[in-house]
Amino acid sequence: MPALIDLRRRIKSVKNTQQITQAMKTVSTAKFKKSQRIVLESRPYWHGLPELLSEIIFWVDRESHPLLEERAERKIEGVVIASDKGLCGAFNSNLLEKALLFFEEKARHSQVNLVLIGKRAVNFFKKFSFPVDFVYSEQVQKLTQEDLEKIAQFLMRLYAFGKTDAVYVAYNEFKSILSPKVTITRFLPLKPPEREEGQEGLPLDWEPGADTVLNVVLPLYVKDQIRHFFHESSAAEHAARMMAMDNATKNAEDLIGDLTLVLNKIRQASITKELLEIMTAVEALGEK
Amino acid sequence: MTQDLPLSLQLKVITPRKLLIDEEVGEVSLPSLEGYLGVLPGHRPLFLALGKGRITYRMAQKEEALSVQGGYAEILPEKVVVFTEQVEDEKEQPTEG
Repeated sequence: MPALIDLRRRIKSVKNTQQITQAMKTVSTAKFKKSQRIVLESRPYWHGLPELLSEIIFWVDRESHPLLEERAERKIEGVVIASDKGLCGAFNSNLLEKALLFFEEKARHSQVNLVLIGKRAVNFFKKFSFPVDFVYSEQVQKLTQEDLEKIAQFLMRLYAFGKTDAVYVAYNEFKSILSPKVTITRFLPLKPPEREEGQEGLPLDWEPGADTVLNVVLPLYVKDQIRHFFHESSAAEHAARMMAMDNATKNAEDLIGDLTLVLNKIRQASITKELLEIMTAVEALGEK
Repeated sequence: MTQDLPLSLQLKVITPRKLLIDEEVGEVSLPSLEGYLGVLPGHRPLFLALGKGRITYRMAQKEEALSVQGGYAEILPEKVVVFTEQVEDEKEQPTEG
């Protein structure tokens, strides 16, 4: 039977942990609200652009721009967007496992290079032999627009110069607070959503010309996609951490309950024992 | 086609951060790569790459402007949709009546 003092110490330490998880939950809730707001506010842009693109591409040749060209997948670039910190449940491990399976499958037929974002992804892929092109392992949450733009530029350049034949992105999509959805999607060559059947296209003019317009719109689209992946991933991360910390707080609560019960039982048992001893002593004295 | 020209344009300026402008306007002037282009309701459909410059738009009584750093515009007879990444927060108040 554990000693009283040990139990008391344990309860105290669990209480401390509970306070920490509670605080982390509050912080993640605030951060989650913020990233959710960003996702919501960028929605018109994010929804408008693909529609536009599909309309534009309807009017041009797929071969007319290097980012649209489809090639056999001999070299592949894989982008994995994870987080820096853990303590967010299965957020990272699910993603990394699925990404690994996917890229290993791809590696059978083609060469796979990786771009890793987030410390967790970097640590995970250290164990495997994929060549890595580009790493962002610190401060993923603080990546600025310029950083994201750099990543987009880098990917576009790789693709446009034929250094890679396809770019895949693995990230956590924010589906609901309860569970992020691991998504692996082909990012380049660009494949805009299919145009709806029967939609009569208006005869369109280009100013200054189709090529120039494509040169402006496609990079916009690529950058926006990258940005979107990040925002989704960060919203999902905070949601996951929020849930994980909520669970941890609840578990701590349960644990404290159980421990207190045991503590009280032992305490009562020892009181009873002491009482018994006193009574016996009194009886023994009285008999004399 | 000339008899049912729309009377106003729906102007939308969309940035990655938010839907910046969503208004009925009478006239828009857009900075294309080769100079400014004025758009009135009923303009023929046009895809337009934008350069640096100012978008000015006129509503019933007032005129407003904002600066953009490139982007893209889709012009249809009854609406103009502008996608741009960077907008300077300089929103001019009415300059003339």
